[in-house]
Amino acid sequence: MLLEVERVSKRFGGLTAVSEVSFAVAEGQVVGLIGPNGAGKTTLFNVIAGVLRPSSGSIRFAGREISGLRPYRICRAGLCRTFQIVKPFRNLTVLENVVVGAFTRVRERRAAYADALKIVEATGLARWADSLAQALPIGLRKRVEVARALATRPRMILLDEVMNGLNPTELREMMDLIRRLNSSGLTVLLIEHVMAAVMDLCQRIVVVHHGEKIADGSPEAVTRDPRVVEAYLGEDYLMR
Amino acid sequence: MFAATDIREHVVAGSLFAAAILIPLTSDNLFLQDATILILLWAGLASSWNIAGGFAGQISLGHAAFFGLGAYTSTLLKLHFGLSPWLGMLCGGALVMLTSGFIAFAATRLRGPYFSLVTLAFAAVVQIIAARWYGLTRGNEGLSIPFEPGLGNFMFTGKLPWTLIVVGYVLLVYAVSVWIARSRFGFQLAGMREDEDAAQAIGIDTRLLKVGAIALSAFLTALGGSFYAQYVGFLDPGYALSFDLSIKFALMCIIGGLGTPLGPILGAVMITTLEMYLRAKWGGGRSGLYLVVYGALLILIVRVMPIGLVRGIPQLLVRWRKPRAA
Repeated sequence: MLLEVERVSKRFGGLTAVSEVSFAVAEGQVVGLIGPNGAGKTTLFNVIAGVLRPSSGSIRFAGREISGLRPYRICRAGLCRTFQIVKPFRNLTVLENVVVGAFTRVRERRAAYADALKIVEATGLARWADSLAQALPIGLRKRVEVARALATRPRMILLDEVMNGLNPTELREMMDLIRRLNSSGLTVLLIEHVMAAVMDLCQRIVVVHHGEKIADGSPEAVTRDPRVVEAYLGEDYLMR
Repeated sequence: MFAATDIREHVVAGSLFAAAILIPLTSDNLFLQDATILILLWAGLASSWNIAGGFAGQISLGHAAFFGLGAYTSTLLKLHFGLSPWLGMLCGGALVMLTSGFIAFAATRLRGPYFSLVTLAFAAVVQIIAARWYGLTRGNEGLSIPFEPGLGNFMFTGKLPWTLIVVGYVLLVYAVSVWIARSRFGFQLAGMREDEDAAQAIGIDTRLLKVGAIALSAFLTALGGSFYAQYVGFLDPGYALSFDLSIKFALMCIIGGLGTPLGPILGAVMITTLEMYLRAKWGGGRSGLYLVVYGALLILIVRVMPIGLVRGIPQLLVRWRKPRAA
């Protein structure tokens, strides 16, 4: 298992945002993390990525304990995340955004630019390479977010709602991108509300509700689980 | 924005340095010679501030403390131990590097205005200590450095050596800035400045980066402080550690262009020239009037070119050329 989350809890004062959640992601998988708003998905991401320290539990990445490490160390270990509310470097160009990421792995300016150019091409951002990030519409900003993370050469990427709010074309492009990345060996854990995309992309789905894991399995199994239907998908989803 | 660090900027900077060296060689006007040296000193100091405030986005309002600590270190070592101010300058730089590094480390979780407040408070404390510790600094009476010309004493009769040294100083800071703008360090600083959380998420150790940028900026500021003490020959906490000084460093960078190697130099030339001119013209009779005009002009400049001269002037040129072409 590449990522092993074991009985992780996160409490804020009296509020338990994540409670005893365990799951694992094998190398090469695409796993979805779903659940209603406020279920604790992003908190769980923040705990895995090192932004928040877990109140209890353990997180191992590639066999190494990473809970409590600071975010930059977790990224250097090969686990990189994107933000739900995108955080582009606004006054830098798209290419420069990616170059900053590339510098995490290389020291030379030329090598960083070469890496970044390749990633900008691969993520379909070449047309906007010299545009300032702040000038881009949200769909492209989300792609910049992914490109910048990829530039750090992760073994596994955490995608936080990179498909929400995209138009149908953008959505298709993003799904293609994720599929291509996965087939080139990248492991993916994604939070998503766009069910069609989740069902299509993920080999496995983990469902959380009120901070607890309520289901974990194949898309087919999860969508038939009555607890998941009740908590998140709704009766309509089952009917279709 | 990094593409802006191109050959044109080097040409502008180079011409300014060359012109500065020519002034003591060709003119007997002492006021002009003195003004040149001070403008260059301001340019070097503003460029030093720019490393923290511009490149790293850590807006310090306490750089006067680093300036003053540098100045006091070389001066006190000279007065008490007869140490050459050249060595004193390096000691001051080292001391300031440690002090500023410690402050940056301690304030590492504070962002934006909260960081600025810490630096402001630090400078205020240093100023009070310097003013009260009479035995060491002679308080507000200030310290005078005896005039003993000589290369080892960092003291000269003519203006040419001073000009050459200060040009060397500005060149050093400019070179460091150009290196930063193109290097891994500079790109990571830009990432941190734009979004600290995102920078951490892509593997950047922002704490180390912050400490490094601030220590480097403060070190270069301290060198300028020692030069100032030697050149003026007098040092008091009311000026060398004042809040006004800290503000001025920031102001020059904002006017010239934050986070660009040339910006602070242009800002320093512009602001210092403006200030000196207005003071010479109106400073006498109607006291205070020149400050009103000075303030109004600064507001006007920031209003017209909020992005600073270095990026604003090319934009203006493009706008002027367009109608002609059409």
